[in-house]
Amino acid sequence: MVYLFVIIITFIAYFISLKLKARFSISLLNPVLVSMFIIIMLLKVLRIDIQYYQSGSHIITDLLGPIIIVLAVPLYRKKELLKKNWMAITIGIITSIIVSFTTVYGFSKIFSFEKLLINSLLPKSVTTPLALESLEIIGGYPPVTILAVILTGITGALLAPLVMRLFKIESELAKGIGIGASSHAIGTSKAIEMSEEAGAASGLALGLSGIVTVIVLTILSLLK
Amino acid sequence: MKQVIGIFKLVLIYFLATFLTNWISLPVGLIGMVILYLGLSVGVVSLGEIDFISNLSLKHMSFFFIPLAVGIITSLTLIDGIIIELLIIILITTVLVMGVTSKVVDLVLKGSEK
Repeated sequence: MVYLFVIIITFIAYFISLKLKARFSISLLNPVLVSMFIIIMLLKVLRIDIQYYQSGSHIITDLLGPIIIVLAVPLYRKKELLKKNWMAITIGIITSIIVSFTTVYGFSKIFSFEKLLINSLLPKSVTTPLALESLEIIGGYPPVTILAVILTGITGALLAPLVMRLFKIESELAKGIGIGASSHAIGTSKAIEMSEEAGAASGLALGLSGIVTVIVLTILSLLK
Repeated sequence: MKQVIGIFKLVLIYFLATFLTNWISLPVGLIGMVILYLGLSVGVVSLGEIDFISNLSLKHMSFFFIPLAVGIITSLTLIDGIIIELLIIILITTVLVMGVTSKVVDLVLKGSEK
């Protein structure tokens, strides 16, 4: 029963968010964000506890694993392009990890966050399972990591078009690598919308940057 | 019928990937991605079989993230007192990582064209 409720209310919210997006093509109307607000409003109006929704929501999120698999399709379709530019992609992935670690660490220091809190934020650019994997190595607060990962994904999906204009990015491949490496699968859902090339690159970057992040954090923790 | 076989193959890949997580500590989705890629490369799976389901899932991938976003609201108490700081960090670092990475790739691509 709770599953049916979750599916119906999420579907309604998503449907409305798509309609809104089609009507006003503003990138701030991100379906994930808009649907979240609609669901919270609906729950308030219906006087249903948010915990009730949460208790059944894994019926949808459990499907994320299988859904991520099909990201191999744009990757396969664009394989020639990706192979040809492997050097640029590798440099991009390394850049993303260096920038991510240094900026997260730097800003956390400015706000004088404690060590375990900083650790919890370090893997925030990679997909949730890999971020939690990293956290097991360096130690931290898993719920904070999950929160930071999701907020990062939504921020990335929301701001991607703006960032691309701001930094004057021309190549679709470059856009995809930046989006996937900074905001994992949620960002990738936006990259797919932008172009097939960006979607393929983003899917590849989310996998590569995730794996490299875990490896780098393992090495760093061994050095200490 | 072809599409049904495609969906069946994807389900099979998912189970295989889940099985492999016993030995490989990577997320199921990523292992599955590699298997599907290999399957397409060697021809065990064809694009024609899975184009309907893959186009549909890719187009509506956001849908599956919605409950995670709703979950943020209930876990906000975790970061009570540092919400503003945390949001600032996430906003700035995400923009920087995305922008700088894309710019570097863009420049390398332009450099190799010449």
